[in-house]
Amino acid sequence: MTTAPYNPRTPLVDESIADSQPEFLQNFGQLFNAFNLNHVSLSDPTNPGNHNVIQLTELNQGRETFLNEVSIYSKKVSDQTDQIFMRYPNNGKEFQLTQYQIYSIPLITSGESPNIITLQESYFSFLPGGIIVYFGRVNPNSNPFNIVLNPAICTNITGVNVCPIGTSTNTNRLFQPNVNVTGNDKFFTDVILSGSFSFINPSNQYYVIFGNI
Amino acid sequence: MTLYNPNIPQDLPPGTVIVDEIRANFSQYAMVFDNNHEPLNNSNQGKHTNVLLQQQSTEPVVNGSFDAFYSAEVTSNSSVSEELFVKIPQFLPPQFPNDPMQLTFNSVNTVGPNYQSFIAGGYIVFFGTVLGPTNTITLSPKPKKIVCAIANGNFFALDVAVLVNANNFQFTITSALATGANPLSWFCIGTQ
Repeated sequence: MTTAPYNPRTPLVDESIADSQPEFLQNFGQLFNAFNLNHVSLSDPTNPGNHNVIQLTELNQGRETFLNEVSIYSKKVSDQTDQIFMRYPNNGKEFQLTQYQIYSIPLITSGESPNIITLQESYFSFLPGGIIVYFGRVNPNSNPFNIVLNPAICTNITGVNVCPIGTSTNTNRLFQPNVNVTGNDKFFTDVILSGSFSFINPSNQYYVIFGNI
Repeated sequence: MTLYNPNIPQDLPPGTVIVDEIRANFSQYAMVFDNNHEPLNNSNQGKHTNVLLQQQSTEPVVNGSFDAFYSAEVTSNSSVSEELFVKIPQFLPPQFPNDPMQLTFNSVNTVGPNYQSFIAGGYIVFFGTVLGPTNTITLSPKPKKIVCAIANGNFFALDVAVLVNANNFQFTITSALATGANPLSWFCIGTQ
């Protein structure tokens, strides 16, 4: 396929089709090649024009929207990379749809094989708008016990909830968890769980933590 | 139907057949462009009206300043479905792979009593309210694994605990202090 540039000004008024043949070929070839990106090929007999992937190149600022339009685009996020954004009609509110790169968090363990104990099983995801959700389970081996926030990208913890794993049998309200937070000068790294772990055996806890990125 | 042909005109000098070929190409381009886009000669030409994504069997390569949306088939514990994915440029340390992220799941429940939605990464979220003191929650669609289950008394500290069943789609909420009049809110996350 030709690689010559697309020329929107061909053919000229005084040119015959024979004179313009190279330009026609260039233009038809360029349209074909450009359309092949992100789309099913123009020459596909069944689904020409549908998308196979959508590559959103980085914008410097949110895309303008008019009435009855929404816009989806990618924009660089500080200390990260290009993330997906959405903007409502009439240059309305913009919010971030993706927040971070989701990946599997290794288990936090103690002890040596074959006596390895899992202290924390961690997962995370995000909600639109810059919210990160940490969740999983811990098996505290100390009091207090640190729930590690991984990745440590949370700048403000907005909610912490824990729940013992087991069967509630005690009517004396012995489980009185306290939570505290710690971190470096920019991000929270841990939620500190303290209190009575003894009313349920084992003292495993499920946790879910919400925060701002 | 006549397909778009990027290799015309050929066979010059031109005759009527060449003109027809050129017209066919312009016509085909306009027709194909109408799929998913505002048509040519429309004041909004070039903008998307919808985006129909053909299923991809391999993940896209992201090697520049752009994000890539695509759809792919996902086999969950409960179904096989077509889901939307996004792949963003690598920015994590190299020990973490730059995996695509699944953004959607093919099921939600807005009726209850066991409400259900999803979050990015292939996680299913369930939530609801029950009355104490003992309740077994059955999750649908069935997750592969329950990775988090939380329950609390709505109005009082009721020493609530949860225990996940070995089948991984049920868990039991107990509260030694709750009565049948005490509502307990619960929340659960499972892997698809």
